[in-house]
Amino acid sequence: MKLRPFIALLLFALLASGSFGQSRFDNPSEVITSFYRAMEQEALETRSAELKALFLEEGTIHSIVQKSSLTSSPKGGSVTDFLQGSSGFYLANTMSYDEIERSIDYYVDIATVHSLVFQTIVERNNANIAYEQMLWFSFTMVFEKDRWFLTNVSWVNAFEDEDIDDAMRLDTLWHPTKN
Amino acid sequence: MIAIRKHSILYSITAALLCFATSLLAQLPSTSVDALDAFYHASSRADFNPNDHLLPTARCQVVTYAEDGSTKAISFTPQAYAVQIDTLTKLFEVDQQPVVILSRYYGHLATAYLSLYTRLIDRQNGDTLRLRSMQSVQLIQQNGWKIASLVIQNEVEAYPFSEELWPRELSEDLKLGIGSISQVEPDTTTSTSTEADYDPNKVYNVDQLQVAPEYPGDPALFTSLLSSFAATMDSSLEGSPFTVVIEEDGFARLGYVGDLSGAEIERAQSFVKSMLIWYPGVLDDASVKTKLIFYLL
Repeated sequence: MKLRPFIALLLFALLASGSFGQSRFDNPSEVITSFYRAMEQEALETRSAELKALFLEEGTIHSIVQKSSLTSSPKGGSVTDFLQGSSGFYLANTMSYDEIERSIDYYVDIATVHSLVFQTIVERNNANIAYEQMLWFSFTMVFEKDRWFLTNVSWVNAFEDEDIDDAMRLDTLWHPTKN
Repeated sequence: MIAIRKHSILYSITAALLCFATSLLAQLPSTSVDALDAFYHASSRADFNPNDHLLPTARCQVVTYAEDGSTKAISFTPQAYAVQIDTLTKLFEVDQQPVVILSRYYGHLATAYLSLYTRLIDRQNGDTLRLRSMQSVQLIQQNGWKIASLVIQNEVEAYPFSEELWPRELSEDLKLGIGSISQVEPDTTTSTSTEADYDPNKVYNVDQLQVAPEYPGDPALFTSLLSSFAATMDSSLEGSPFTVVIEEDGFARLGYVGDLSGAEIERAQSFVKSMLIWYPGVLDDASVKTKLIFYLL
């Protein structure tokens, strides 16, 4: 295995697009922006409709609560599983996302997007209590029916032992091959 | 004495358990890249166990194309993907090798965007199909690194791989297309020689034969077959060439496809599979192997 220096990282300016109903999702950036907006929706019906519109039917979501470099609690499942599993948390809190950095790799009809975001969680019963953290999101998408669909979204939170900016660093590995 | 013996037994059991645990740990991939290597190695074998490499919630998506060019992503659960691997390994000897891996990781989440070289050797006739694809993988560390998502896009000829993901230094020895293991040299030329001696092992060009291979039935049937796969035998139409070998027994098999993309190779394979049994070419009153040249438009 040969480690090569960081090669390609396309950084995208973070541009908010129009309202959800006007989106056609004909570029990956539009899907990402719409995903964060959907995740901020307080009403379950709205959140559910907006998230499901972004995913393929078989789409999945995996989240990792990382407590330290050694311990974590991963969870995963369908979009419906995520909506059901997180509904209690949304009842008690509101959430907002500010995207800091984004990169994309794509080839024809697949795309992989990496995104660093700043998440703010505010308790509904006491707006003075707020939690803030950085998260790394990784999205995979396919282009079907003239638009991009999410196939999977995974994320992990920042933890003390390691700078989350490392997540956006790319290692290019040359793999020995034989015919 | 008894106490010592008990202690020895306890020590032996502890040592055995430690050895067992150490061997288990040794088997677990220590990094996400090791896990990828292990996955591609294991998923090239008939005894592939999806539970060793994929999370139960994982999905494998394969981008496919319909005749009209529209995209359809087919989704597989880990078990359904294992069934696909099982079928593939029964038909072919499979070898999958990552070429370049663009890797990112943080904590217990890792991703890889990689180019993959796949070689399939037909277990019946030894024909070799060599393909390349781009794959996007997400891995999560949960009792070892396991795949949460795998998305596969086979190469599309109109969009060649970048030098970054298919560097010349790594790939110059990697052949692509179809051929026998011992003979992969592309040859779509037509010989001008009409002098030929009968050789049962030789693949002849049409102009070397006394009687050319003939497709059975109404000629319109063959025209319809060509039309439905957008194929032609007319070289002036500037399509992508590939060859079909008509065996002595009239069965058709795909020959050289080095100028075709992955999607076109699949189309050429379907085209050949849709053929009826030909009347074979004849030389010196014997049936011989004959090479026909087709073009995909």
